[in-house]
Order: sequence, then structure tokens, then C-alpha cells
Amino acid sequence: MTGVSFIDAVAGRSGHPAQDVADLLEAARVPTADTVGAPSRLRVTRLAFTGEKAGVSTGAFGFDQQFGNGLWALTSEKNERGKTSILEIMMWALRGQRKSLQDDVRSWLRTVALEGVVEGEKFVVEFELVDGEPEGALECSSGRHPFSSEAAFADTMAKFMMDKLGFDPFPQWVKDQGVSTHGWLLYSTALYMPHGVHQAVIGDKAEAGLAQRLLQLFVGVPWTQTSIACQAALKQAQAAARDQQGSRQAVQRAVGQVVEQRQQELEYVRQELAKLPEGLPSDEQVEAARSAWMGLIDLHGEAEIRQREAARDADAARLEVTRRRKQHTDMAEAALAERLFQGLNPTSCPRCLTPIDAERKQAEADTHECAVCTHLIDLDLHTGADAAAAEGDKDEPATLDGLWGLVVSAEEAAAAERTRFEERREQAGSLARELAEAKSQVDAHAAHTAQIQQRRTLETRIASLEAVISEVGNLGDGASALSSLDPRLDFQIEVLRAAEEEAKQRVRDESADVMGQINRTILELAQRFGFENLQRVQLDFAARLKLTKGGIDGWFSKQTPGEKLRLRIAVTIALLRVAHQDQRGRHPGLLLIDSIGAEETEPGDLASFMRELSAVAAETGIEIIVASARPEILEHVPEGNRISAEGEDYLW
Amino acid sequence: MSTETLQGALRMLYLLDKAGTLVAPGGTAQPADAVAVIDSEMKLQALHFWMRNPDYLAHEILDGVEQGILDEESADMAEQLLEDDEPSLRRYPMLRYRFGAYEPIDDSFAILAAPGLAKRVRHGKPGNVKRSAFYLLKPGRELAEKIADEYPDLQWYPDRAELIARVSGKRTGTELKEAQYRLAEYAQTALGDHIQPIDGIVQDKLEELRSRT
Repeated sequence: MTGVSFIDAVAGRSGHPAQDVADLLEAARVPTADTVGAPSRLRVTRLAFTGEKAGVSTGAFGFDQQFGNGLWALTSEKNERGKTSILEIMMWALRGQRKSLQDDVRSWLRTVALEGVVEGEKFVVEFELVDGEPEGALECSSGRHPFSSEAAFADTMAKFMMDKLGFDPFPQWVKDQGVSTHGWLLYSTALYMPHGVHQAVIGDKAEAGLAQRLLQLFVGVPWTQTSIACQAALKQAQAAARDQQGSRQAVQRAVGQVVEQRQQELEYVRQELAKLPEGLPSDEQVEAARSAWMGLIDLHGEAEIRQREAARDADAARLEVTRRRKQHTDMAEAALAERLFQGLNPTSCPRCLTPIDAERKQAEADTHECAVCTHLIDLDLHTGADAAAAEGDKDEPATLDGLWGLVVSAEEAAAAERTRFEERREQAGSLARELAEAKSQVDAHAAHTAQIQQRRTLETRIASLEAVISEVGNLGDGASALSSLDPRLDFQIEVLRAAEEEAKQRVRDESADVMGQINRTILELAQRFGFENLQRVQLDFAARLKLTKGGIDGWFSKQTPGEKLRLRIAVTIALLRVAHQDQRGRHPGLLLIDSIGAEETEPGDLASFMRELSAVAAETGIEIIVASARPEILEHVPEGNRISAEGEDYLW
Repeated sequence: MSTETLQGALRMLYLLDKAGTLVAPGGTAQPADAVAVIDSEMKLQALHFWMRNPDYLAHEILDGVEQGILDEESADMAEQLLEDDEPSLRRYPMLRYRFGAYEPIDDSFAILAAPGLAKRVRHGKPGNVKRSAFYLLKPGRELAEKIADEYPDLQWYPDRAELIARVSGKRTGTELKEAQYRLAEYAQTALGDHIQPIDGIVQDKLEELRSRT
């Protein structure tokens, strides 16, 4: 044990401040201190169960047996007499989950009860089988914990045992699955050696560090938990880093693609813009032309109105001239006619055609009496005053000259109106010309409308593309600036790596001695168990067992089933022994071994097993329950610890 | 007396002079020195109507050209009738009456009748006149010729009357009346209204005729 704390050691290795290291390890749930306590104890003190057989044999059955420290044996003379079932039921009660209990036995069971002690505390597990599911409760000092399904049962027992025995869950990193957590179900495999299961040195699975874990547990090397936790956390951090790297690269690729696409489009749009003709009018020019045109439309419209007004006035003036001329003409003609007709002498009455005689004519000359009608003739009436009066216009002049004056002034007015009209017409005309020019300008622009529109569209697109390229380019630069990992992850990986190394180092340091001792013990035991030619045993912390026999190296997995059995038992006993000696190791001290004589075990070997088992039980005070179809093992077992069925009998 | 009446007398004098049918002297029921006659009041009225409405006259001329009765040069005459404000200057609106373009002519005729220039002969009794004939007497013709010679200011009268005589030809008063009625405007004028001018219609007709030749 070095004097430096784990945290400080890791800080030193990684080059990061101790506080940061401590925070990280805590967050990653890596234990930074390791204590090896005294071995924990789990004992079964009683197992009882009832049921009803069905099938070939029928009938109610029951079993009730006390157990305790020391070596116990379950024997029968024939096979298939229920020994395995007892061990299986015991395991079921301890784990909450069946291991390999036969289906038919399970279906027969009605009630199960197990009493035990863990770390000095009594506990009772009782359950009934209802529709195949266990329904019952665990009773212990903390109260009653009911369950009504296997899942709940397993959960209850796991929590209880892990807590009482002080076991930590074992996180295992599985590729593509992440971290899976092993608990009581794994650890409990160290308690039970079923028949015919020999893949691993310890436990029943040779896979992925599980046997290692069990080994570490039994040997009780400090820092193993820490080492395991560091490994898992490190792997997790590394995976996260890979993901991040992957997605960062993906971002860069995507950015690169976008930029390239936009560049290409920009190139194309620029070419299109270049294709447009030169000298297109600007938007301002187009607008100016348009508003000039609109203005001229108004001006021209007004000029035309004024022209029309002037035309009307001119027409009216002309009509006035005519009117005056008519007045004048009529008057002049009437005056002439009057003179002409009045100068004639009447010859007969126009009404009755009677000729007018000379007398009447003379009277007219003398007395001014009309020769026709005898009225006095008023000479003044013949001056044309009548003509004017007949016109009906009292305000108008009564003389020809006067009327002619009106004609003249009417003609002057008409001339003035005509001049005005012509001026207005000229104005309207010139505005019309300007308007036409302005319109043709607008039309000329309109011909370019489509191109002007397109120019605007292209220019807008260019601006937009340039902006996008710039922005996205920045993004890309930003992304590549993060070419190194997220500094957080960087830090995590550095520290965890350092922690893992430190933990491993400590494990190695502490375990080297222990393993040496264990290997020597294994060798001794195995030899006693009849493993001939065994010269050397090398169990490592990876739970790999290398052996040298007859000068040749071999591996556990290559041995015969019988040899494997011997080795397994040797290893377990050695572990228990050494752990007990050094007051280290966490095996609960309960061992169930099934069919110990089943493999081609020589009687001498079997006796040897039993002797050693008996010895270790006595030494360490552990509880070992052995099941066998070979009753000769009974002699190694204290009388009170023998549970046997004779002849054809069943154990229950 | 009014301008109207005096001018009417001039009009009628020349209508008789130019459009009156020559009479042989010595005929029964005719005045002794009659030289020409217009044998119905309706005819006199119709001729008088044309004298007072140059646009209707122009229309009649164009109809005549169209029908081939008048030569094409007469179309120029019609045009002249429309130009230079002629219609306005020489239009004397007349009352429309159910017997045709009717205007009381008595006062104007009296001016001719009193000095023995013309004479109206009525057939029938007073209050129930069946027809009238209007005779131009020798003094009338002489005066007409004199005025034409010595008074160029009054030249319009003989010229116009001559034209009208040509246009009317040998048609009777009824025929003339119908011809005048045929003009839509004429017919459309409500009873009692003054007959409306038709220069627009005549102008169009002229253009149309011109375009055909």
C-alpha cells in the first residue's frame, strides 16, 4: 500500500489538478478508496417446501430441514431422487430467480420457506406458487418486503443481499449495448456449482470478465472495483469521443458540400449575368421615364381640353358672326324690297281683286290715305325701323350700319377666338409629340423589362449566395477549429486512463503475492484430488488457469470434465482458505456442490474431495452442502449433517 | 311690315318667275296679263320650303344625282349649299303643318298682288276654298328682271329660285311634298315644331356619294 492517495496518484499521472480529478471520478462513480472488509457471511439455517406430485408418481410431498455451518450431505442411492431439486430450490429462494429447477418439480411446488442469517441478521423468505409465479415476502430487520412475481422477487433478494453482503454492482461495457450492470445474480453463481457446468474456473460463464470478477471478489484484492469502474467509464468516454469526432467530421463534410454547391451556383449565376446586354437602363432611369410619361399624359390631356374649349368658343364666335350677318342681310334686303314694292302703285285690292281707280290713287297722294285700305300712311314706318323692331331685339341697333358694326366686331371676336384656338392646338400638338416621345422611351424600356427583371433577380441571388458561402464557411472554420476533441472529453479520457492505470497498478501490486499463495494451494489440493502429473498451476487475475503437467503446458478449458471438476473445487477451496487466512476476500461462505461424484471420479478422489471439504469447513466455519448419489461421502460428514434417502426413497 | 314678309315677297316673286309654268295668253279663267302660273298652293309652299331650308334642298339635289335625274356637277352645288354657313345664313325656320311645310303666305303675296305683279285665283267660295292658282303677271316679270339687273345685292333670290325650279322639275305639289316628307328629320318633327336643320345628314350623304364616284 503506497502512502499516496488514489486521487493524488491519478492527478500526478494525468497532469490534472487533484480537485478536478476527484470531481470527475465522483461523477463517474469510481470508488477512490478501497477497503477490504472482513468476509461476509451468508448462511442457510432452514429450508422447507411442500407440494403435490403429478404425473407418473403422485402424492403430496414435503421437506423441512435445518442447516448450519459445516459440511452437509444430501444423498440417495438412486439418481433422480430430488437432491438437485433441493439445491435448486435453495438457490431460488436466495436469488428470487430460478436457476435450473426442473419444470415438473416447479409445477408441483406449493410453498417454500427459507430461513437464514446474513451478516448476523436473521431473515426469512417465504412464498407460495400461484399460477406458477412466486407470491410471498422477505422478512428481515428492515421489515417485510412482499413480492408477487419472479421479477419482483429477484429484485427484492438482489437489493437485500447486495446491501447486506456489501457487494457493488459490476458494470460491464458491452459493445453496442453500453453498460450493463451485474449484481446478485452474477455473484450468487459463486455459491453454487451445479452438475456438469465446467466452462469456467469460477462461476458458470467464461465470458467477458465475469469469471475474473468473481475471482477478484473472492480473493478480495483491493482496487478491483475501482479498476473495473475506471475501465467502464473510460470505455464510455472513448465511445462518446468517437461519436463526437464522427459527427464533427460529418458536419465538416456537410459544410464543405454546401459551400461547394453554392460556389458552383454562384459561378453559374455570374455567367448568366454577364450574358445580359450592356447598357440596360438602370431602375432609376426606367422610373424617371415612366413618371415623365405620366406627367405628360396629364399635361397633354389638359391641353386637349383647353383646345376643345377654344374650338367650341371659336365655333360659337363663328355662329355669332353668321347671326349678325344674317341680321344685317335680312335688314338690308327687306329695306330694298320695301323700297321696291312700296314704290309701286297698287292696282287692285289684293283681297277682292277690285281694281283701284284713279280717284283713290289721287286721294292717297293728297291726303296720304292708303289707296287700298284708306288708313293714313305713316311715312316714318318705311325707314326700316320696322325691320329692326321685327327682329324683336329692343337693345340691338336699329340701323344697317349699326348691324354692320356688330358684324364686324363679331368677326373680330371670331378671329381672336380662332387665333386662340390655333395656339391651343399648337400647344396640344407639341405636347402630343413630347408625349409620343416619352411613350416610345417607356416602350423601349419595356422591351428590356424582362432583362431588367432578370438582372435584378440575378444580382439578388448573387448577394444571397455570397452571404451563405461566407456564413457557412465560417461555420466550417469553426468546426475545424474544434479539430481536437471536446476538451471536456479530452480531460475525462486523460484522467480516466490515468486512473485505470493507477488502479490496475495497485491491483497488480497487491495481488501478486496473493496469487502466488493461491496457486500453491490449488496445486496441493489438486494433487490431493488425484490430479496426476500436475506440476504447476498458474491462475491469473483474468481467471485463466494455466497448468503444467508432465512438462507440458495446458489450459483449463482443454482438460477433461473430471479434471476440470477437480480444478474447480481445488480453486474454490484454495480461494476460501487463503481468503480466510489473510482475512480478505468476500465469498459469503456458503457453497452448494451438486453431484460431486458424478464425473469419473475415483473413490479415492471422492474421499479426498470430502476430506478437504471437511477440513476447510472446519477451518473457516463456512457452510458447504454437497449432493451426491454416492452415499460413501456420508462418512466424511458429521452425523447430524446427513440427509439421505435409502433404497428407493426420495429425499422428499 | 316685317322683314320676314318683305323677304317672303321677294322669294315668291322669283319662284313665280322661275318655277312658274308658262301660260299662253288669253286662256279662260286666268288673269289677262298672266305669263306664268304655279297651279297649287301646296306646290308654292313646297317650293317656298326649299327656298327657306337650303339643307333640305341640298338633300333633294343629292337624291336627284343619285337617281341620275340631275347631273353629277349638281353635287358640287349641294356642297356649296352647305358651305360658308349658307344654311344658317339662309335658313328661315318654318312651321310644320299637316298639309306640308306650311307658312302663311298671304301677307307676302299681298305685297305682290296689290301693285298688280301677281294674282291669286281661288276656286270655290270664301271659307271653303278648293284650290288656288298663283299667277305671275307681266308687270311682275318685268320687275323681276329689273331687280335682277339693277340690284346685285338681291342676286341670291333669282339664283336660288332658278335652282329650285330645276330641282323640282315638272313634279306636282303633292309629289314635292312627299319628297320632302321622305326626309326622316322632316317627318320626325312634331306637329307645331319648327323643322330641324339636317346639315349633318346631308354632309354624310355628300361624302358617301363622293366616295362612290
